[in-house]
Amino acid sequence: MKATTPFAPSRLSGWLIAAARIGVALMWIDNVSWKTPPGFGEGDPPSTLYRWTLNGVEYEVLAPWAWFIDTVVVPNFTVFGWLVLALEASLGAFLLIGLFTRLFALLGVVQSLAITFSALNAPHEWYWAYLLMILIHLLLFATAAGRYGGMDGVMHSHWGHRGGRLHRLMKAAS
Amino acid sequence: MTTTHDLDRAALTFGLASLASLVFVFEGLDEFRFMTVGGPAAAIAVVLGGLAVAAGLTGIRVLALLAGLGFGTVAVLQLVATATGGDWLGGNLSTMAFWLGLAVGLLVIGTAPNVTAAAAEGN
Repeated sequence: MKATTPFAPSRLSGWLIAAARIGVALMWIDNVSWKTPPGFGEGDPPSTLYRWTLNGVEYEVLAPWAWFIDTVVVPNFTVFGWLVLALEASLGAFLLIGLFTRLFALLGVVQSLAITFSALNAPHEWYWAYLLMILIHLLLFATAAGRYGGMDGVMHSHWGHRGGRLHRLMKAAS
Repeated sequence: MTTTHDLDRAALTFGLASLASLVFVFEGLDEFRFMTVGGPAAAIAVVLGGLAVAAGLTGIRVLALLAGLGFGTVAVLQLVATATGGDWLGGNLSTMAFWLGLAVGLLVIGTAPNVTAAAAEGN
C-alpha cells in the first residue's frame, strides 16, 4: 500500500515514539547487569552469558551460526563477552538519550538476531519475544525515533547546517 | 537550527532523569528494578543530577560539561568495581550503562557551539 501523506506524527505520537525508544533502552540497560566481567559466566557449571551462548550450539537454530559459536566464539569467550557488554551497554545508553538512534536501532536488530539464533530453540523460550525485539528496532529505525524527545531532534538541524563528511555521517546515523 | 534553549532543556531533562533514578533505590520494585542504585550511587545521582539540572536552568554550559565528565568517570569506576568483584559504588552494570548515556548526552551538550534562536532564524 502506498502512503498518501508523508510521516508527520502528532505531538502525542511523537511522545509515544519517545516512550517506545526509552522503553527499549531500558530493556537493554536492565539486561546489561548479568553480563559480568571478567568471566561472563564461564565455569562449571556454566552460567549467565556463557550458558546462553552454549545454547546456540546445544539447541541449534541455524547450522552455520552454531558452527561459528563453537569454533570462533567459545574459544575466545572473554573477548566475545567484553564485546557483548560494550554493545549492549551502548545500545541502552544511546537509545536512552536518543543519539544516533538509527545507527543503534540497526545494531539492535543485529544483536537481536544474534540472540535469536542462540536462544530461539532453548527450552521454555517464546519465539515471538525475539521477533518483537527485531521488529521494534526496525520501527525505531523507520521513525528515526531519536528525533522525538531525543538528542537527535536537538542536534539534527545543527549537523545539517554544517558541512563536512563527519556531520553528514552523524546526520545519517540520527 | 539547534538553539541554546534546546540544549539547556536537554541538560535539564538528563538531570531530572538522574534524580528520577533514585526510584531504583527501592528493592521492592523486584523485576522492575532496572538498575541498582544505593549508597554512593544514590549520592552520585543527586549531586551530578543536580549539577545537570543547574546547567539546564542557568544555561551555564560548563556545568553540563562537568556533569558529563562526572557521569563518565563514575561509569568507568562502576565497571571497574563490578569487574573486580567489588560493590563499593552501590550500582551495577545497568547503572553503568545509564550513567554512560547521561555522560554522552551531557558531553555533547557541553561541547556544542552556542547558537541563539535569533541567530538560528537568521540562517
